[in-house]
Amino acid sequence: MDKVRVLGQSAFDLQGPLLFFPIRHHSPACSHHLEKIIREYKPEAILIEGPRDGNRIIPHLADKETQTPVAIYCSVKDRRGELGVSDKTYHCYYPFLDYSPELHALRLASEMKCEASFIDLPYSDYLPYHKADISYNSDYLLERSAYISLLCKKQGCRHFNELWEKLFEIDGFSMESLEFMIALLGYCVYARESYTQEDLLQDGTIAREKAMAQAIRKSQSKYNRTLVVTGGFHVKGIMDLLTEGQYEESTKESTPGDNLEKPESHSSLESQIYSMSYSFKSANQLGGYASGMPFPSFYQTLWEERGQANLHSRALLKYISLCGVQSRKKGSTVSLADEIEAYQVAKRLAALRGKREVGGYELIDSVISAFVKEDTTNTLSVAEEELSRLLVGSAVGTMTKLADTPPLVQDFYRLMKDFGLIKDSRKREVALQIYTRKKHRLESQFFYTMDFLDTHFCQKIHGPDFVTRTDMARVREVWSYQWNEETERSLIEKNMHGGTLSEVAQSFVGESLRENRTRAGEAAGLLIQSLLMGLQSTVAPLLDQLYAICQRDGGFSSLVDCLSHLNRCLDLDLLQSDSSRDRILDLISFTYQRCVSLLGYMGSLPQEEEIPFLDRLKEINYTQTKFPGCDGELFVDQLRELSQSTRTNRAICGAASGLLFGMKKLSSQEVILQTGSYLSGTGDQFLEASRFLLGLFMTARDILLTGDELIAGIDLFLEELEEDKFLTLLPQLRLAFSFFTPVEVDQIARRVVKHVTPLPQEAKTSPLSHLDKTTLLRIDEEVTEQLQEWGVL
Amino acid sequence: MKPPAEVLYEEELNALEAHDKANKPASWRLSPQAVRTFLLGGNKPLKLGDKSVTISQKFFGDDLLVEQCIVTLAGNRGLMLIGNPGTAKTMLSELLSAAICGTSTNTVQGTAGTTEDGIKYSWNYAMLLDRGPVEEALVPAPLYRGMKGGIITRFEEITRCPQEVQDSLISVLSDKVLHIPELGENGVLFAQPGFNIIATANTKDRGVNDMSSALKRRLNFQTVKPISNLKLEMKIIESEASRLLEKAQIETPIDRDVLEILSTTFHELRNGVSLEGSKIDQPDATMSTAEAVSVYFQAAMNAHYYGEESISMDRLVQNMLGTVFKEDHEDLTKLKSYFTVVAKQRVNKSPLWSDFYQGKRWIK
Repeated sequence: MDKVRVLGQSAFDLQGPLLFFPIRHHSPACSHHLEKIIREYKPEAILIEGPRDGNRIIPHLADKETQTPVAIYCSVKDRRGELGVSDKTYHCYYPFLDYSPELHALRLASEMKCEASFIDLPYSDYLPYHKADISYNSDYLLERSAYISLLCKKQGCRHFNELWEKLFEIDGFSMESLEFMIALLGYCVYARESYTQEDLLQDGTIAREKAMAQAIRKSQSKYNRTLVVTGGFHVKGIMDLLTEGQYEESTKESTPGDNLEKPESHSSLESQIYSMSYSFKSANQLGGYASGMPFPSFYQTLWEERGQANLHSRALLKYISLCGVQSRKKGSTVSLADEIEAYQVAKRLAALRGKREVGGYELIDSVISAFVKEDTTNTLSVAEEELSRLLVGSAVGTMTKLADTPPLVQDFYRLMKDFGLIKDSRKREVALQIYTRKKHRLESQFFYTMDFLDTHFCQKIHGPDFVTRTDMARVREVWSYQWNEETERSLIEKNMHGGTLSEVAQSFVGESLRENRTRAGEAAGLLIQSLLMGLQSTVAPLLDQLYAICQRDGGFSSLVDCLSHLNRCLDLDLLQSDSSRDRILDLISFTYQRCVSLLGYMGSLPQEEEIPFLDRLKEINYTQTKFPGCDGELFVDQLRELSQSTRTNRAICGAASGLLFGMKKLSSQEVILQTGSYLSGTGDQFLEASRFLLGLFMTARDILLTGDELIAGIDLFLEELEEDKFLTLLPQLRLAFSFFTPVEVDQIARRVVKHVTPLPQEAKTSPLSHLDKTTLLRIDEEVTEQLQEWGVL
Repeated sequence: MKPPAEVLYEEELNALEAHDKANKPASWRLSPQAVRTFLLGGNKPLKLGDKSVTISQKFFGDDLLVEQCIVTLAGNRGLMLIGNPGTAKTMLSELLSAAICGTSTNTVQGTAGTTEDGIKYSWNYAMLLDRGPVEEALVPAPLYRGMKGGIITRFEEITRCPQEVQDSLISVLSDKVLHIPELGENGVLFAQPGFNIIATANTKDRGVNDMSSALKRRLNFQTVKPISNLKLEMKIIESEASRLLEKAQIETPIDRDVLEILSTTFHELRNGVSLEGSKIDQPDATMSTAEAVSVYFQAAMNAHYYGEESISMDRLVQNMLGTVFKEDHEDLTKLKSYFTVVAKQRVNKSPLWSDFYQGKRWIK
């Protein structure tokens, strides 16, 4: 420890030109002592461990209007795949909470009018060491240190975070600042001993420390008193570098707005850095690129109430009571006596564990002891879940209006405000009357755009789906939405594509079309999506590209899908200009022509593909009946071909006949004859009758609903059918009739009854005669007697 | 026979008592810190006379649970240990009791036939007839003894008792008073400081007699979970199996390779996932560490008494069947499936795994 004291004396010289303050990121105790030191030392410059290309953000972070949690967001796009994968975007957050020492230092610097700057490597320079998403202020070096593991064991702590809380967050507030700094420095210096110089070189720690040492030396030449605020792990490393003079002189100094040199080998990396809103929920996540501390809401309470007597006990009481209330709301039977017991258990646990006061871990353990009355081997209890939620908190921060928030993010927040959407981390739902209220229609366009841009912001729960044409009868859309960092991150990344959501969506639509050269159906789907997003201006260029794609596309299904989407555009009145409408009509005519010309090749489709094909056939028929510009004769010719060919799939054959019947190109007698030819056929041909009927009913259901000829025809054949043959055919016939609605089946049944047993009009509705009743009762008695005799009843 | 914990670890308890300077709750033999050291082991040996006594670790796998149990017992509520069978609930209860009050034998063994008399007190009927209801005629049961002596009363398998018997504890836990109406005005027994209850219940048997919420409120529940660390489980099986073999006077060293296969199999079947990450059907039977110890011990006995040099994989599988197959035939299918999917993958890992896989033929 003497070694540490000597180092501490050199690092913590309040009279000297350079003072180091070691911190752990997001530590209230560190912030508490840092404030004391800053006020005592009165530095001219404060240098902080943070990405130095983020210096322009400092005034915004320190601004009084900025409400935490917020974060610096760094992203690097690797277009050429220099780090391994082409076009991959790497990103990291540098979160700030009220009690983060870095932010507290920035706020104090602003208050005391002293210079503050970040001195760490830019993300694009740090990233190549890891080639994966990595955070600056992740505590992995401390967490993985063998010394810390040993210390955890010795102190009876389950892991690094509990050890930290015991040694610094609980004891820290009552320590003298110098004593606190020495203890923290010792902790970090010994933790560093677990690593070799090679380890630290490889993971980029040395490079970062060199960059920081170089910035410190530069600052010293300019200012008389410089305070350095870095992670405790780096203090010894930086001090050694300064003593030995081994830091990179070649690296350019950072000033706001500077474009810093990147290592030569990775010069093509494109980096962005912005400030953004953040949440407690994400600040709680440990590891990965979202670094943080556990229990952010709990520590926020400690921070806000610092200086008050019995600080930790008050926080304990607050969270036990809140947990009790919330658990009861969720149906748990937690009583006041349980809350008292939890408080006492926490106190006794702290005493047993040698802690001066209770911390978050005693709080959790006490709630488990006193509130939980069940086996928790495989599940979490209600109380544990509630406490976990309370300790994390749901607060979401906001950056000052002065912040250089990307225009796209600004546009997003403006629209959120316009539509009255709430920015917190709760999931909410909105119902939109899309056909009757203009504002709701605009809000729907906003949601469609956010969904299209894959921002993890919203999801449609109910409503018509214009692309797949399902649920079209619905008149309302219900959307769920939830603000989260991913949304803002995603928007920042897309910022380079445009300044508003509409511009970016337009750019992405264009990009998708450029990538799609031959799939007309998908391209027309994109047209519908564009219209749903309210991108009217994209329609004209989109139609031009769609025309070219239709020319190249040789797929029948894709072309009919395109035709269908184009029809929907007109049906739904999604277009606002007449010129676009005319252009679509042209395109419909062209696509129709192509579809019909391909019909001839479709006759021999396998059975499993016939139903989607029949739907498409109906779509073509719909088009030709609706638009006079479409050549009906060609369609009729193709249908005749399909209807008469012996090689045609029978369902398609039936559908073609049905369409011809509907167009009055085939009489009902001809259809009946055709049906009869199957029913009187041999072997497989006989079985094909039902599939013919299936196709026929799909395209000409009115043949049964309006006339009796077909019923009579079918009946004629069925009458002559042997029973076993009829039974073989029956399942297929049932399938054929399954396309009728229940009301239609009822109508058909009435016609069949009328055909088979024509009853006098009055008999249909008159009640049973006395004679009928007597006869029926007698039959019933006889049947009952017989069944009883057989022992069935 | 296994002596009670206070006899087995008498030296350790004496050494801890001699060095214990921390504050003790009223009537406790040791402070909460010393109780924790007794259960979890100490770093340094303690001097006791001219001897140096090392405090061994007796409970493994969950230090936090031990701390939570100790602070519960130092308070006003009783302690309820629940969990799957074979998770050392009884051992934990016994050790806590021995360390806190010096005795672990003041115990009620809960069964369906347990009556209130067996918990509170009964009468010496000859004396009752002779002298009437006087204190001398009263035969104290564990609850009475616990309250009078200010010691822990252990209540094993509490949920096996009928609910009305369980509920007789409610007023005792609330007021710490036992009423003996037969003794008239003097019939009130106030619990002495140090009295508390440690109850245990198997999760699988909870449905036998559910516990009233009134009693639940007077107990702090602690779930004793199976050991999640495979290496630790192996260590425990090794130490327990050695102890049993030593007691049975069988001088045979522990075969670590056999032990590894046994522990791994039990660990994987219990957790429903193999070390490689494959999902495994979990048998309904209890695949606890205690059962694994028993399987090893039985296999070692077989090998010893039938003149085999070492434990063969056939013996291991045969003994394992006794654990897995209790009543449900489905469990045998699950074990078979484990051999087919998981054990087969390891055939090339070592000849022993290959032999173990061959043992599949015993699963009928």
